[in-house]
Amino acid sequence: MNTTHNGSDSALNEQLDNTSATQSAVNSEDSLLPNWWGNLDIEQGRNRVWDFGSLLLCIEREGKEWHVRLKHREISPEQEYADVSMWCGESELTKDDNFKRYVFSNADRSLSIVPILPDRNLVVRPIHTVTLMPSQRVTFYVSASLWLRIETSDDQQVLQEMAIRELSDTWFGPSPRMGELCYASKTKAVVNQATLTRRPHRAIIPIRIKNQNHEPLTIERINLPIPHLNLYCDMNGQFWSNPISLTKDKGKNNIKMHIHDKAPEYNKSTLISNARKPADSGLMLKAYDMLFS
Amino acid sequence: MEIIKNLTPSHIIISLSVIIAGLFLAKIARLAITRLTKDSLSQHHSLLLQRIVYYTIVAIFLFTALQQIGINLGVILGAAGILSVALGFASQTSASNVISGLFLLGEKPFAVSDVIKVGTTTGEVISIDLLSVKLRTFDNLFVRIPNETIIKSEVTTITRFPIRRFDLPIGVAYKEDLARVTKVLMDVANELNSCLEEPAPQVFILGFGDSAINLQFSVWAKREEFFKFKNTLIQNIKIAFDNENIEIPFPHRTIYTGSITAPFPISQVNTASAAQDKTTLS
Repeated sequence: MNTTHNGSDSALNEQLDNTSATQSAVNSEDSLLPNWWGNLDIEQGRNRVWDFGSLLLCIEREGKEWHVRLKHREISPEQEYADVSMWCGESELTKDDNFKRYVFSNADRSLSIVPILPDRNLVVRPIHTVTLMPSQRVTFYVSASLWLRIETSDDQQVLQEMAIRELSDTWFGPSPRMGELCYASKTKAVVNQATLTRRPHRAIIPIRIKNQNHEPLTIERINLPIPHLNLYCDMNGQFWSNPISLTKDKGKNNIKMHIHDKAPEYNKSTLISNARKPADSGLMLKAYDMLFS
Repeated sequence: MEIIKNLTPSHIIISLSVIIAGLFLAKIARLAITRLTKDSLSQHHSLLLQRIVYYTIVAIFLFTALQQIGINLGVILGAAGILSVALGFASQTSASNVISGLFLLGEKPFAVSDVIKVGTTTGEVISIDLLSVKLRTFDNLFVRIPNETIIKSEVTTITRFPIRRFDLPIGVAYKEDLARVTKVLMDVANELNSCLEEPAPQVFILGFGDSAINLQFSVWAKREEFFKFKNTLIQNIKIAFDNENIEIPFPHRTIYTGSITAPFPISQVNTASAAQDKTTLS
């Protein structure tokens, strides 16, 4: 795991005091500040608070116990913070805000925060319905909000997983009888990568679509198999998933899906978390209706 | 009589041992099936297979035990045929339940752990047996429903599909702008994450009621959190209507004396003068 936690908790306090309590924790230009994820270096009796805009999280160390409190806020994607604020001390969280206690036999256990991808498929729409002409290809980019996993540093026992942004549920399928429950993305799929709003707690998912059929392909919604994707982080702290290729073959009603093993164009990227589910062969060929509508 | 005369203690011990061994083996076989089919079969099918195997093993060992004491199985089976006709007439209800049970197993309208509604009873299916279906209601009561009743009546399987629609009847005052009411309702649905984006929420205008314009707000949610979703949705609609000053009217009556009669005389009482009058009277 790529982590830049070098200093102690007090060192962090000093840093944050010298700057401001809400200064960016993830800032590629300021390497002195630690990442918002990685190993937690919290002293006994101290805490750390993360403010993602859509999520306020506090982890506190109390003897052999770790206390976790969190609260989600309903904000639009445009209102999301450009950086993650991180500090030690007071926050607006109370004991009633999803409070959980985790107890260990000894007090020297340490925790880590691992960014992960959501646990269900994500349904995303282009800004307007797109018609891909025959023998043409296009690459869409989707910005997906990440989840957090709090786990023990030594043996990766999972304490809790949480979404940084709570997403709406949606149904993807030909009828309410057939289909699957997914998350509905609050952001749109875009063709121009430069127009994508980059956030330190979001991952970019590239989707390459190729229409080898004689008829145009209408793309209104795309169902992304998020649990089958790995999560990578590049040198600038930007998260990426491995790309997905969708190919509509000649005369066939099926879409061939391929999940690339690596992210070759992001050479200097590090694998942060593995896919929740392995990419099985059944996933490679799915019914047309299950991927587009 | 001859069989009883020829019976020796050793015969009886051997027969009893065979029966006990049969019961023991049947139980082991049932446990083995439970473990082996845990991942491959549904709970319903596993239960069915367990019963078939259990009763087959018990029957084989029982017949073996009977043979040990010199009973001719052919005679027993012949007697059983005649007995079954007699029993059939005597226990029509039980036979009907058994046959209904077989149909239920074949048709499979629900499985163990499904939530079903039969008549006015709603509960989780604990077991599907040859004579009856056992339910656990949500107030933790045990209900036994005969299979015949299930076959004859309408049964709703609530947990069949992963998503459900909630139809909320709403009445708004006649003075309200229905387009604005629709927009407020849609905004409530959009802001609620547990409300499914697709199938999209819909507002139906049902007609003119006695005291209100009646609407139906139909929204979809996942089955697991359906009741929590209902509570949150109703609360959020109430808050949104209060914020937007949309009136949910109470039933009211307009007293009309007819076009010929004069209107009701209404006089306003001045509280200051009324208090003065009261002082004067006292």
